[in-house]
Amino acid sequence: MLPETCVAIERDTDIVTARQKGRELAAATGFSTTDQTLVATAISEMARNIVTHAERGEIVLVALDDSGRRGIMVVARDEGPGIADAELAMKDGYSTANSLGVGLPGARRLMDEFHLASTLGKGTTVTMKKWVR
Amino acid sequence: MPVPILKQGDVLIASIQAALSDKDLAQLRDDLADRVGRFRIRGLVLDLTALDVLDSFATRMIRSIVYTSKLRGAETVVVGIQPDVAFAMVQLGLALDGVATALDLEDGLAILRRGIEGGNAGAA
Amino acid sequence: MFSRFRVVRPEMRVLLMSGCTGEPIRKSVVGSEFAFIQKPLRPDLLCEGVREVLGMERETKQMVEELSRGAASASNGIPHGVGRKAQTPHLRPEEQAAMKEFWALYEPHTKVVDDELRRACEEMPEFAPILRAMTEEQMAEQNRRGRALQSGAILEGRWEAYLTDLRDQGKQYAGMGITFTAWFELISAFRSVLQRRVLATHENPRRAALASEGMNRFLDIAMAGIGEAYVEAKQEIILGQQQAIRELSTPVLQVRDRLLIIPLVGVLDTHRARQLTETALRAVREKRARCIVMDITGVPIVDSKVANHLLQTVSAARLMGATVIVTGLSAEVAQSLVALGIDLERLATVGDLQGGLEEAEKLLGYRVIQASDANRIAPSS
Repeated sequence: MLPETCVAIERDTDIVTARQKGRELAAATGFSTTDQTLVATAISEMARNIVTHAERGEIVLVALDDSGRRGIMVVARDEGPGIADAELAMKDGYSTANSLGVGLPGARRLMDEFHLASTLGKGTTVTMKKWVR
Repeated sequence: MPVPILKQGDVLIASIQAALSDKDLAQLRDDLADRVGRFRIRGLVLDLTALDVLDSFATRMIRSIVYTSKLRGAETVVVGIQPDVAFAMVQLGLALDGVATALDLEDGLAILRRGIEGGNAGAA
Repeated sequence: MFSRFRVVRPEMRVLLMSGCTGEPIRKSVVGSEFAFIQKPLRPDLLCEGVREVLGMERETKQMVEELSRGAASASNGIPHGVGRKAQTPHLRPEEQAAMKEFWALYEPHTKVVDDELRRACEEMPEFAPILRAMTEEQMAEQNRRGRALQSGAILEGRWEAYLTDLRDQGKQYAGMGITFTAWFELISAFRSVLQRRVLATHENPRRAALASEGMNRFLDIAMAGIGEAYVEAKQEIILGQQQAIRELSTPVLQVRDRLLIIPLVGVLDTHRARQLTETALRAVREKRARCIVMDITGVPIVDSKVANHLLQTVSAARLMGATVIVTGLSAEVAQSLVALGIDLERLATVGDLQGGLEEAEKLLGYRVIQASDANRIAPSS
């Protein structure tokens, strides 16, 4: 298993691929099964956001090693319309396009570190990290 | 990939086998709606034992299935949600309020039976 | 020097000691955050100063509070320091020269100093028993070894070896129950002996003064090392106790078919709450539980965070078809939680464990009757 994997996200079946690869990498990194599910779920949400809002993008999975501390980084990026109000998007309950509104703030709860960068008209990049306990 | 749907009298059992794509889930919802109507189904067991991730979309679909079935006269019990998955759902903030749940197929069927025989199913 | 100390070890308490009464010292000390003691030292004043500055007990209590409140951060934030290597101190050339001068003046008198120090130790209640348990050879060997490490550090800059050894000693003695104050008294005695036997009697006062500076700098470094070892030792103990408590704290008891009891004791922080949820959910699957009675009588603080943790456990268990009944939530706490806006409706609570069990049994369709009554009651359908 390479320490870095890139999954193109264009259709709904790619969401499943991304989260399966995410689970594999998480397992290889040494995460507990519970944490593997959290990672896979977060990936699923981010991948779905790409499909729903941007039509296409990619999920990059990277194994992390910070002087012995192991973890995983998930980068979800697209060149879609971008998020107009990042702060609003991160609030629980805010929803667009029929979602339950849990996407971004929910995913943040599942991971340890979460960073959102978005420019209107240019695209969105979400970077998330989780560390093995 | 179609989901196997068993019929036991007036109860349907749908065991979701593998990681279903969004289209598959939507398809399942339509299939179930169709059969519940056609065969006068009184109860539906949705077995999620094999699902390793239940995200917001899947949760929405499940709610949709439950709602549609109810409209057509069937009560639904969702069974088999795994500990990890339940944990992730709760962290994510997903809820299945108003949806009856049970540990496994056996319990799910028992609940449906009681409900059907008693006149209404035991919703949570 | 001390401001650099502060940068490296912001939490280290500093007690300044100086024989100088000159302006430069006064200027730098007045208005600073350091405590200051004028030399010549009196042991009792010194100990008082140390106790005050270190506030060891306070620090430990704070640490315990912090750790029990934030066990999660303890596992991925606070540097444990356990097994961390001793850091070489930053020494200016003049400090190094002063220390070398100290060593030069000290070396010819080691025997005398050893003897005097030993006599002083024999009068210290904490060290006396240790001394008594050692043979002459063992003592001589320990002194020799200690001096080799000290000279290695002072003359050759091999600080790591010396400080690591000091830390190990510190940890060992901490484990034996020797107080940090006792160490301070020991170093103080050492300083005192050196002052009397070596420095005060030297014919060259200039050299003696420089050596004095070097001695103090050296002993301060040593004290810092031992202090650190003590703090680390305490942290280790606390973390160990935490772990033990955690292991004790989430027992899952099966009282009936499909009915579990989880009695919770202790602070429920985020980390423990996660563990609790995971344990409970796994138990639901493994024991096929349909009902869990979670008793929180032993949880001292039930604030909105704890309530939310419990709510999460309840929601997650419900997804698996299990009902969680929370017992042991006092009326006052319940009221304050409602006032905070927590929706207690979803947290099915019953007064005490007994009530909770009865509720659970009802839910599961059990009816409990006493054997003597059973004969008189017609069998139910």
